[in-house]
Amino acid sequence: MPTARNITRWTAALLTVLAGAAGFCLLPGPDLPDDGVRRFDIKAEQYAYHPSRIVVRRGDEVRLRLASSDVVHGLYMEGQDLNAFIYPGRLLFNLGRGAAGAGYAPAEEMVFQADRCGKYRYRCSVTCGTLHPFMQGELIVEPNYPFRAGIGSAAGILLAGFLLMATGKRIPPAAGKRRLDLLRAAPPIGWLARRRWLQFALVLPGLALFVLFIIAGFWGSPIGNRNIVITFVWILWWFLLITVLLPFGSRIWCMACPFPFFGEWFQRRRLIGVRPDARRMWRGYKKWPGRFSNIWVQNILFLGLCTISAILVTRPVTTAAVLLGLVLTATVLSAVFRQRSFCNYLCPVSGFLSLYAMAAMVEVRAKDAAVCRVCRSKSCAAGGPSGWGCPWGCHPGRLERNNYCGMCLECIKTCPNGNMTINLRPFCADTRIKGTDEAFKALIMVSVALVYSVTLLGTWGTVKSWANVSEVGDWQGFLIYAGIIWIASLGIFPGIWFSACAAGRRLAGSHGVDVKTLFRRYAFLLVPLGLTAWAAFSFPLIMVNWSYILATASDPLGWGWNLFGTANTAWKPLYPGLMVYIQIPLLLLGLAFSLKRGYAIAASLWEGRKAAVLSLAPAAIVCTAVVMAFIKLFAG
Amino acid sequence: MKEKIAVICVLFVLSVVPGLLFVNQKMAWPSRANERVINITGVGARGAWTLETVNGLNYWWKSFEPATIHMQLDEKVVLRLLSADVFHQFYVPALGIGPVDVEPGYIKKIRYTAEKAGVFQYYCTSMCGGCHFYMQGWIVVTPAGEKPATPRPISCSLCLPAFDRPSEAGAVALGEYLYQNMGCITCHGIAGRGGIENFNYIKTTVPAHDRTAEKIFLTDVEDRRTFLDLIRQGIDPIDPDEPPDIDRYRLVTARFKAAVELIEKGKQAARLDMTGPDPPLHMPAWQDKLSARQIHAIMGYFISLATDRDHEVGADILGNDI
Repeated sequence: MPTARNITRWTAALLTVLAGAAGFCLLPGPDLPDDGVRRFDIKAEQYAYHPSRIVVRRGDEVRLRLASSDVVHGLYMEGQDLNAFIYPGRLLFNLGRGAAGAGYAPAEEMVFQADRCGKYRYRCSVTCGTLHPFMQGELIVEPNYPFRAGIGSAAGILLAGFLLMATGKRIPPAAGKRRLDLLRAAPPIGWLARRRWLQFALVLPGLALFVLFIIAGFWGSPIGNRNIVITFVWILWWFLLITVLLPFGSRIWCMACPFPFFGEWFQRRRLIGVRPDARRMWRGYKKWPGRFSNIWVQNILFLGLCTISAILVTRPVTTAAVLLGLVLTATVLSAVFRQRSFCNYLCPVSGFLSLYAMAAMVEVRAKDAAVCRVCRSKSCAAGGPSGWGCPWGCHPGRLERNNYCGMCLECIKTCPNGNMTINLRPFCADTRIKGTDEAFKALIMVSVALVYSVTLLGTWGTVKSWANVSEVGDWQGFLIYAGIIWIASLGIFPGIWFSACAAGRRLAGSHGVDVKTLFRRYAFLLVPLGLTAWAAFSFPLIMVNWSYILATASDPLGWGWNLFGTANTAWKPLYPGLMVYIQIPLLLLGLAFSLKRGYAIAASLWEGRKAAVLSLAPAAIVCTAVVMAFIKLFAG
Repeated sequence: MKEKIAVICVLFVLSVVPGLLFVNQKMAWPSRANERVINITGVGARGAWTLETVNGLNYWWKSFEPATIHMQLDEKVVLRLLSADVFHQFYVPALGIGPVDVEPGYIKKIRYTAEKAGVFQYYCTSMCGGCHFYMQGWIVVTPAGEKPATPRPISCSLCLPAFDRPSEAGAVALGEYLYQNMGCITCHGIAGRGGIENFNYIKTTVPAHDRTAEKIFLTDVEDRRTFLDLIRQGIDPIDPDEPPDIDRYRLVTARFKAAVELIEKGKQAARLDMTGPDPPLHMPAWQDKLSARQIHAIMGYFISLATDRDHEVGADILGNDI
């Protein structure tokens, strides 16, 4: 029930955020010439524009002269829907609107009125090489209100968060305790969840696509945005995974993933049914070595893939090779090790899925703990007549966190008491990070999101050249780039985090809780924040490149097919003006959840409100700074 | 039973997906009974239109053979043009084919009946990277029963052992390096001697450059040396602090300036027959690729090509072309 006190608290908090946003909007802007007409010479080259950032005032007439110094590039100006084809070696470029063809005419200048403030990007619209989809520059129309409001709101949320913490009545506060039994609420889901063929039916289409991807990667077009393996994996799958599957379905992807399919098949010797000796089938298979029974190997492999990501996500053959390599590894490992050892300890995707599954809005849990306590068969863990034991090595009856539950729903089928179910729950309901490996995963994910936002969504050609080593051949630059990724995510950011936790401990009076515990537990603040930051990072990918998905659906290998009539879908960003209005709220939402859950964690660690709030402050400030950095990169 | 269906499904997926791809590809080519399909792929990174298949596996390392396209006289063919990397243009002026825009992902089909016999040159006419100027080759149309001609393929010399880039100080050496490395050499000839044919161009062949010194009135050996010294020192010869001791210096700078401007801005090649096709070779604008100093270095190289024959300026070089 909203009490008068709560209404006052939340009104004050809301006003703080609004005041923050308004305050930053009122700050004076940069000094810009006000002659009304601004002229720029923009030179395009693989894969950047020079200048890569132009700043004008609202109402200015902008005149751009365009040139290219290597191959044919395009320049699509967001917010104006103007598009140019820039031919190297020619003084005029072709200017028009919409898809190429009708209405395009040679022009000397691209002229438009900068009538709305904010950040608009100019992007390459003609496939110009491997990193073409990431080639962009930015036009800032001052005063950049969306950016300022975003920064101000972030500061406001920090203040408002502490205001609410300081005035709240309940300590510790309720944090995501509500549950809705989905199987009871929606019986068809329950029916489906108990079908033995469900997982197979979900994996099979994935397997078909997987075969198609491998063939396309090896024998299809070498152009990334013209090959289905790139567009479907790195644009469509990635986007769906981060923005839909993970936050709303936990590790539902792991149920449909084709990577461990062959390994699991060979181990079980069944695709759908259960062997009568299900409980004893692990004899002869090794247990994964204890020393590696954490997600460190995943962390390292993930960083390894991130280091070559600019190559991985633009070259079909690299992606196909990595996908094939992962399937082979999973298959070979499952001949030696039990169950889903590959998924639990090696798969580079699984690492961040396990971390961000903590935030997911569904969970597989026991309905009644008492039933499990007196249960003798423990079929959910060991297997039984109607299902396999948990392939992930969990004891589903005692599951507390989503991290290592692969959502295969096997325990729902296995439980002889019908005590397992799927719950709907609030966002970020698991808050307990248990190991340093998991804490580092959270730090790595945020660092990598920042590096990617600079490399792939940024305008800096130099960084792109460093990352694009296989084409450019600048190994020194690549070493710098790789060094930044590894040192930032394993050194600098963890260092900052550790310092923040140490400072928090001092502020709280240094009693009881050690820094290591704080480092781990507070790392959860980076889960909601990291997940929303990745979502904010992923929206531009699909909003800009959606046409490549349609085109490659009709022409998967770039061989000139047109299966569904969409092969010639013209490239054009989808509502690019909306981008920052999606990204900034997402980031702010992440920050708000970080603070909310952070306070619950702090209150469970410290005696008394004051110590809890003070110990959280430095980490909360770091989180706010990270969110501001993202807002700066996306909107500033 | 369920288990067996599942196994069949898996085997079906594993075999039918590749099979369908193969069958669809065989059927997708719009080949009429009496037409031959020729796949021509533009590879900018290697400077070649090639008949070889370019795919994810071989693109990154293979040196693709520039295509010599053979046709029988009166044969009907479909040229299927695609790009493996960037935007290209395919142009065969002598046969009236193109210029065809070839954008990556969009495959262009040209139906063509080989009506005249002979050897015809094709070009890429949209700059597509370092090797662009080598992206040329031949279409050979042979009457039935005759042995087809085998013209020497044009392959990119830049993709062969790399040139060493000389320092900025050696202006002439830098100019020579740029002349070769920027591809000027493909049209203006070895040592600027010209003689490269440009189809339907008003002057038939691309202008030579070994007489540039004379054209800008640097006829005297000493004058040339003084002028090259200016370039070498990085002094702008058009606007030096103090005019050097060179005969007719105002005239020299005016001519020099015009030449530099031509390199910067480029020039359309005029047609010989106004109703005929556009000449394939035009002077591109270099202002976005070369700095003023680099252009001066190239001019320095041209000037250095002058032989020491110290004769009077002839009427033939007072024309407009540089």
